[in-house]
Amino acid sequence: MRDRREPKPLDQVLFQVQRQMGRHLGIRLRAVIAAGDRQSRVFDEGAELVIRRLGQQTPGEEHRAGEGLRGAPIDPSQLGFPEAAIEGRIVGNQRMVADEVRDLGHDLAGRWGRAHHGVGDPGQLRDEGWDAPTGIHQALVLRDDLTIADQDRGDLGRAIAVIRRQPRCLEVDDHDGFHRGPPGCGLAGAARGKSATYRILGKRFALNNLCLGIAGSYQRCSACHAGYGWSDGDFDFTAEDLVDCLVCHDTTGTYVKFPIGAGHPPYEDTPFRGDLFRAPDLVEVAQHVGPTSRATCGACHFEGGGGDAVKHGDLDGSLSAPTRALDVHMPPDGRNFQCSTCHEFSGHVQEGSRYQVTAKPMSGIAVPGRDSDRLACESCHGTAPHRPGVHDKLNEHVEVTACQTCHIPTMARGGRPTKTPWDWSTAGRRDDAGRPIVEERDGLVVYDGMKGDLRWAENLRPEYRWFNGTMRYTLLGDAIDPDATVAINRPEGDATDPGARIWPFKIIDGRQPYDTRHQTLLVARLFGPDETAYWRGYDWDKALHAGMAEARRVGQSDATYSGEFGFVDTRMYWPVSHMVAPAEDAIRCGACHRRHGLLDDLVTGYVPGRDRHPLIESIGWWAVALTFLAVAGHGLARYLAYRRRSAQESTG
Amino acid sequence: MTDKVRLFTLYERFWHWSQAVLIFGLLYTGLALHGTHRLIGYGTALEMHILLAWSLIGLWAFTIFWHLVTGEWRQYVPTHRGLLAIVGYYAYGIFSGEPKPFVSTAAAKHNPLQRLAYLGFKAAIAPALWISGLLLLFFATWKTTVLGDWLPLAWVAWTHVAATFALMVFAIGHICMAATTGDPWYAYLKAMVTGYKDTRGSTSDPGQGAGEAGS
Repeated sequence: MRDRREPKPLDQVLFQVQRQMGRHLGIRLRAVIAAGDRQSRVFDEGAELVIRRLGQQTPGEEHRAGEGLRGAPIDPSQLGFPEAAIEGRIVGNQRMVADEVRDLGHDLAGRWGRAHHGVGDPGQLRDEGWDAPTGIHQALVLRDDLTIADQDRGDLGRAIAVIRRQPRCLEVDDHDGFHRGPPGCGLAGAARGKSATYRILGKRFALNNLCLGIAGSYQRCSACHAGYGWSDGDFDFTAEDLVDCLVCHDTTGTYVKFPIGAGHPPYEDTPFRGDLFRAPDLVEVAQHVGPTSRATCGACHFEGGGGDAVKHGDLDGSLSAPTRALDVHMPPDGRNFQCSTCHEFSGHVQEGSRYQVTAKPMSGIAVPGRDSDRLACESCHGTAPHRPGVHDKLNEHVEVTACQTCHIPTMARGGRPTKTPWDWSTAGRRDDAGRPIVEERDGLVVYDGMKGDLRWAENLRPEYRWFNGTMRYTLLGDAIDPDATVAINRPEGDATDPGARIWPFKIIDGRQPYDTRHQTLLVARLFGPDETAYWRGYDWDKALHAGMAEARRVGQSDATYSGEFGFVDTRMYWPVSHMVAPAEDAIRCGACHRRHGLLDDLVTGYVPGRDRHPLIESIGWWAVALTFLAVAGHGLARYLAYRRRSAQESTG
Repeated sequence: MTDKVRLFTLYERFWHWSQAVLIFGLLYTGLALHGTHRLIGYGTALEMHILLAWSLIGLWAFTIFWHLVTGEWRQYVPTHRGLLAIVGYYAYGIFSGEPKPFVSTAAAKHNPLQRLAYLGFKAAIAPALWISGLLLLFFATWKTTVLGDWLPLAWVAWTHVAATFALMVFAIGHICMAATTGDPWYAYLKAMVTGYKDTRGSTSDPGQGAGEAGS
């Protein structure tokens, strides 16, 4: 029987902070902070949550754009403005940009006036959209615990908002199980005076096994940020005039962001790694703004992990204009869903579940205007989506199986391979000229001196796991077991968890640096202007020192790097929700209802077609075989006896 | 004495053959569900299995009614009288061309061994399949009840599978004995098709029959 405990940890808090903060863009949050076991906070009924943001700090060494890769640096002047201007733009003094744009005679200028804004973080982890509350992720602390908070997060700056939680409504973890308060709490959960533990996630804190982590590589990683100039840890996520409206609302298809521009578009035609990035005609783009589309969302979300299809497997450029077979909802000549059809926006606040996934939305069809949750398959299809025929067995599977499990039979079906695994340990091979060696096979890069060994897969069958919506993350400073494969994130839940269902995941296996003395994961500076960046100096030790120093400086972690590193096998789980196939292409019943089927290791209890009782089976088949032999022998004996009798009669 | 003895009414023959078809369909689809063969997909097999099962249940429900109304249920009352003779016949006499120590009539269609076998099928194998099958079909409705706490699904499934094996053993023996041990060898099969037993040219003396009731 299922354990009816209440499993919702702290991170399932419904937390519509961004409204109260008056943010321009946001995601209706389910997870601001995810429960963990490392950071402890003691608080009582009087606790209040304090949202703090990053204070303005002196621009650090990271504030540089125009860094070339492949040992072929780009002249910053190619970006269309002198280096000083780049600094100004990316760091925060946006006067020049503002003046330039104002000259364009468009009210766009007002928005650009001070270029920093806090939306974005597309593509990172379970991102379904922009990440307006990144600043919240980064700095959620308990107000009555300011001492601890200040010690831990004192570098995060001043509080900008105070949110009063309702009484008895804060999740706590007493180290052996999570408790929550009565449902309906604005911040669900119960403060019971115990020590609460939580983790702060978001692009600034989470690690991955693609580009390892953002620390030290901000300008590259934030190229997809829907704001201008997130070039290091110091960024004003509350500044509305730093929002990049155009990346979402461009309808011309000409607006692009420069890969190493910290969110800025190229202001002049600029080459980057063999591709020419054409400067968009901003006036033209601004005069042709419109609703978001698959293409505008995809401009960032299809490119997660550094290129088309790399990260997700279920999100790539083929979804810009998919066939019905690729995605049953989105073909332009069919239902023509846009991303926002499901990821519905309301006042720039978007439906999405990222760090905390809605793994089992059993509330059924979401009524527009009444229910806020309009993202899950069930929001439209309900919880009994299959036509009952002579039986209703398919609908009975809804309880334990996510729709995606059967209806996304394979990922990367659009002809664009997705990446897995990625082995950083072999990176660093360069030719005589010092350029990284690149090896291709079947048109795909399988080795890159900058990145190591890479493999790709098309039509990739997802892996399946029980999942209750909570992801456990391994962050910087968390102890790891280097002899095992380290799960950078791990879906929580099992067959006994009533809140869990079987979900499909894209698993990315990797091999990446870790601290052999501290036994913790490390983040390296990959991108940067000097020899400390791995992609310039190809020196892991320097890159790790620089990356970890930056991680400490921006408050990502207080973990240090001992100076001794090795490589450890890692694994990430990416829930799969897109590329929903037509019903006729769904995974057939027999894929699981067979011996050694798809879900063999996941499902306990009797599964028809899979399970047999060995004794019944062997006795049964022996009985059948012996009976058959007996009647056959009986018949043969009769026939022979009859022949003999006939012979006797004819002779006698 | 006429040449033909009417043994099976139209309804009996309809019931027997439609039941045979349904059971073989159920066996075929059931073994697909069990994973013994993969000649049809699981989903198709499941739908067909359930449709066939409901058909068989309907047929049986009416046939039980028919048995009660016509009193034909008495055909299945077991008896030990003549049982050993029949067993001995099948074990020995049949090879040496001895006459069968039983002659079927409309009033006593089944020899004592048949009575036992059919009763076992009707009273043990079939109910086990019915009950376990319905429990499997409606698992979703009872798994959260007291029954669900008490009865593991696997036990229900093992019962269904074990009863299926018993059914297969029965079917093999029944087909062999009912279809090939007549005189001529297909005589019983023919009777089940036409309803009439042909008594001409029989090597057995009808007068010896234990159940001879005239015609």
